[in-house]
Amino acid sequence: MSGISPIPHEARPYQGRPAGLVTRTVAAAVDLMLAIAASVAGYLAVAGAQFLLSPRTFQFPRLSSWVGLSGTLLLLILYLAIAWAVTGRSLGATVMGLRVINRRGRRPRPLIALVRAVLSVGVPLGLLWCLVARERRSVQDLICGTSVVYDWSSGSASGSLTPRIRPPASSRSGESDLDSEAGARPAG
Amino acid sequence: MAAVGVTRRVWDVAEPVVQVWLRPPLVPARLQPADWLAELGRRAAGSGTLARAWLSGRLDLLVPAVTGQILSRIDLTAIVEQSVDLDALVGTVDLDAVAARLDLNAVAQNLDLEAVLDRLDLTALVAQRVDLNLLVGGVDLNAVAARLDVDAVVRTVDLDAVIARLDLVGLAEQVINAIDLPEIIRESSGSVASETVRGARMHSIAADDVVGDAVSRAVDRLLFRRNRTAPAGPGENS
Repeated sequence: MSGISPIPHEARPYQGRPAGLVTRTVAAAVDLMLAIAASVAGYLAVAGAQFLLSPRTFQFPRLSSWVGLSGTLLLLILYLAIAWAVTGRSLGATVMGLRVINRRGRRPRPLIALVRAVLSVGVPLGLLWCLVARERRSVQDLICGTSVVYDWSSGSASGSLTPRIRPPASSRSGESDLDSEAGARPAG
Repeated sequence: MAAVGVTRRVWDVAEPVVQVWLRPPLVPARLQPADWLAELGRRAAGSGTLARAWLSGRLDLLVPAVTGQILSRIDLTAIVEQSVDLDALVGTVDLDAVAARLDLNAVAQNLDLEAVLDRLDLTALVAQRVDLNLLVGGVDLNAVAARLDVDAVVRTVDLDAVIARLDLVGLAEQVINAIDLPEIIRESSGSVASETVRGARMHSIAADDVVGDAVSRAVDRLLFRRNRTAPAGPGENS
């Protein structure tokens, strides 16, 4: 049923187009909050385990802020790398309807996803470059050869499962096997 | 006296002719009118009935021969056509009475109706002479339809072939696109959260465009650039 799109009418023109700063920032904030929540949950889990082992002498484990921050950022890097390599989208990207794709319009390879996650977490200000760059690419995108596009579909970006995703025009090559629905969206 | 004289004169003139007619040369004696008249006289003197029978016998011989000779020498048809007013003659005939005596059934039985119908262009005749609208207007189509066994008619239709020719998938997609089925499903089953997410997404997309355009204009102004292509926008090249 390739002719039936579950995407609302008003959003269809934007599908496959590069995402802007606001949406990507919100998605990143969601991912950051998720990482923080996961870190807190992990801390509470450790604390709960210690309480169960020695309730009388229990005290909340003390962690330096550096350890906590670096642990949270490491967790975020791992999460983003895995999410982008597996589905091309993290939870924040899913909430905001975004997807990370490579030049061929597919999900990034694991190593690329890891590099991109490190750069995204380590140099978050690189995202601002999408304000002035062509195709709204951040510094991380330029280095890794990736793009972030609007994609409200629920599928994965692996191979031909997502033929509707389209890489930006400047990064597309003739061998692209994507986007049989180009007519439904603006040329790009 | 004058009459007697005239008669005598005429007889003098006609006597040779009469003699020749009564005694024609080269004619057998039994066929000479003089003998017939003499015999007729004798018989008439004896018996009237015998005389009539004798005369009848002679006439039976004479009339057909003379009539045949006469008719063979004249064109009776031409004479009738020239001399007889056939219209007036037919006008006096009671054709209705003639028709009433005719056995039309016997005539019709001898007709080759198939050949007659083959020569007729009944379609053209009906098209020219029959008011079909008036005819159909008088037909109770509802009654006809009520007597129609629609099931039997449908049973004769190869529905599989009809369906095979239909692009059901394309048709279904057209219908679903026309009624925007996904939108209906979303509206009927979508939660408040999904509506909120949808609104947040659309607002963020709009914010992306606004921020992107503002920054682009600022950069253009800063770098004194003109006609810089905006990075995105529905319907534009991104």
